[in-house]
Amino acid sequence: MPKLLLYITLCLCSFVTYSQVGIGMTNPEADLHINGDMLIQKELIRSQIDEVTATDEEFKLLTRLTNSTPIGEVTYLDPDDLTVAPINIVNYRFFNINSDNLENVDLQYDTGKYVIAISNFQYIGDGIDKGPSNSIGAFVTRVFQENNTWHLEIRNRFLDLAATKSVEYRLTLIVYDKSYYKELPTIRVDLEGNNTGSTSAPENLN
Amino acid sequence: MHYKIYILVTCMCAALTVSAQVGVNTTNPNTDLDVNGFTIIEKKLYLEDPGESTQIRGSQLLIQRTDNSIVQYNLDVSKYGPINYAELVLKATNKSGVEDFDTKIPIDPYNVTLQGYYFLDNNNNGTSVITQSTNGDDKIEGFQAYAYKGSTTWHIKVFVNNSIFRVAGNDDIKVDIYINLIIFRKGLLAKEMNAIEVDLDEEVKGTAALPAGF
Repeated sequence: MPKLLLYITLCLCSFVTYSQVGIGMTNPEADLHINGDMLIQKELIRSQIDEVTATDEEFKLLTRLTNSTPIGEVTYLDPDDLTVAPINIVNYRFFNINSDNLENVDLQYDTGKYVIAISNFQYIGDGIDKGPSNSIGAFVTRVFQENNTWHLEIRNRFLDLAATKSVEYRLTLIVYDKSYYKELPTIRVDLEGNNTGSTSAPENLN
Repeated sequence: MHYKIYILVTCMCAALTVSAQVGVNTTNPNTDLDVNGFTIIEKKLYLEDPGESTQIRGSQLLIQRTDNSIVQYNLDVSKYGPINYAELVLKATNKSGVEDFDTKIPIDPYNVTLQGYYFLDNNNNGTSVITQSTNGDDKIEGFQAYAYKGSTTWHIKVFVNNSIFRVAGNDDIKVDIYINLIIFRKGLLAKEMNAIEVDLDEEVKGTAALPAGF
C-alpha cells in the first residue's frame, strides 16, 4: 500500500506540476516548448512580460489576423510587404497648372478607407500681384471629400498670376489607413463673433 | 488487484491532464494552462477569442524583437515610437529664412515631415513679423516649408519666395521659427511610396494617379 501511495503521488506530481514540458519534442529548451502551432481558444495573459529595451531596433508590431484559418493567427506587421501600409508617405508634384489655380484634383483615395494629411508644402514660382485695395486674396491649401474620394485644392481663390507667370506645387501626402487611424466626428463650434472659445473633447478622448 | 488499482490511478491522472487546469512549474494554475516560466512556440500562435480592448488608455502594443521574443512596447523606454513628434525651434535665423538646416536624422530608417510652422521676432518674441517681397510691394509670394533628403540625413528649408521677414520700420531683423516635425519610423507602420507627378495640362481640374496597390 505505501508503494501505491507513492505511485499516486508521483502520478499527481508529474501531471500537475511539470518542470520542462516539450510538445512534439523530447528536449524542451523552455518551460513549455511546442514544436508546432499553438491555439489558445480564449485569452492569453502574460503576467510578467518583458519590455522593449533602450537599444532595441528593427522590431515589428504584432497583429492578430481575423481572416486566418483557424481565426486569430498572430503575425508581425511588415509595412514593406504590404501594398498599402497603415501610414503611407507619398510625394507629389503638380505642374502645368492653369495660372495658380489647382482648383480640384481627384487624388482617388477612398474616403471610406483613408484619411489624408498635407505636409512639406512648396509653392515654387512667381508671386501673385495684389488685387484692388491691396487685397492679398485668399490662398487655400486643403484636402476635401467629394464623391467618396479625397480631392486637393491649392490656389489663391480670388487672385491670379499675371499671364506670363507660372507656379508648381509640391507636397507630401500622409495617407493613413482607417483600420489604424480613427476618424472622429466633425467638431463644430459657433464662436458668435468672439476670438476665444472652448468645447468638450470628443467622446473617449477626454 | 494492485495491478488494477495502478491502471485506475494512471487513467485518473491521465484524465486530469485533459480535463482540469494544468500548471507548468506551478502547483496552483490560475488558468486552464498556466506556464510559470518561458514558452517557446516554434510555429504559429492562434488566439481564437482573445477579447477586445475598448480603451486607448491602459494598454501597450506588443512587438516582436529580432531575437523573436515578444515584449511590451513601452515608448518611454524605446529609442523611438512608430510616430514621433518633435518641435524644432530655430532661433535667430537670417531674415531670408532657413535655406538649409541639417536635422542629422538619418534617411534610411525615418521619414521626416514638416506639418506646420510659425515665426516670431527674435528680438522681443513679437508676433508682428511680416514677409515682404523683394520684387515689389504689390507681390504676394508663396512659401516653402519642407523636409527633404540630403545625402544621408533629413534637411529642412523654411522661407518665403523672394522675400524677407521684417517688422514695420525695421527690415533687418532675425526671426525664431517654430516647426512641427512628425517623424515616422519606417517598417513599423509607415511606408514611403513612389513619388507621383501630376501634369494638369493647363486645366484647373485633374486626376492624380493612385500609388500601386490602392
